[in-house]
Amino acid sequence: MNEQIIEALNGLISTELVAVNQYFMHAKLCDHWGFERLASHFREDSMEEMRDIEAYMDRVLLLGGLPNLQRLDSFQVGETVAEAFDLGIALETRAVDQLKAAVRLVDDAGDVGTFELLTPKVPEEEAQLDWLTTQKGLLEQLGEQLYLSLQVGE
Amino acid sequence: MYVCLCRAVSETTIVDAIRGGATTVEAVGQACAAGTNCGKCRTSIEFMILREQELVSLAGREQRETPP
Repeated sequence: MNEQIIEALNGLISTELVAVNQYFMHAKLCDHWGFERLASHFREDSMEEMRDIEAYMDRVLLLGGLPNLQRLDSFQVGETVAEAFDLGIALETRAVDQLKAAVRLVDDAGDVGTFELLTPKVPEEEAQLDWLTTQKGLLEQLGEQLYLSLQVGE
Repeated sequence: MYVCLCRAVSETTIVDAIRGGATTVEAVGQACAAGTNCGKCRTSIEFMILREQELVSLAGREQRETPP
């Protein structure tokens, strides 16, 4: 049973690694384009995902497995802020589904420790997804020029 | 958006290569270098080739079915 849980945790680590890299890339791009406010948000999200990875790694080790940091799925990079949001929404939707599946797995297995570790992550990931969805909505409603003008400056 | 990060090739460039006659991942690679380094984006490129072929066949069907 532990192998299945370790595999699920390593699966979460893979997705989080993509998120760390994709968000960090978008943070740096936004910074380069001059949208510093967006940049700092993406940067903080990237760091948050890295902290999640650390917690999952500790759990994998405790369960007797080896955290797999080598498996990095491919991802795409936005050429515009709108594309960065779309890519983030796609990634975060997948991450939330995967996390919920892992929660069900460890609950069925009676692994209370991993369950306690994973459940608080669900609303956290959902909040990130919500932020991205809200930004996409604002960008569409306000128009790109107005929305982006609000992202300039610290 | 960038599909091939190793060679910094965007979706637009890859679609142009496909519309320019590239029908395989290798041909796309020859045309614009996408997918020729680590190869992780090859699945995405395959998907884009299929999508373009689907679009072409849909457009063909529409033309045949629309009365002049």
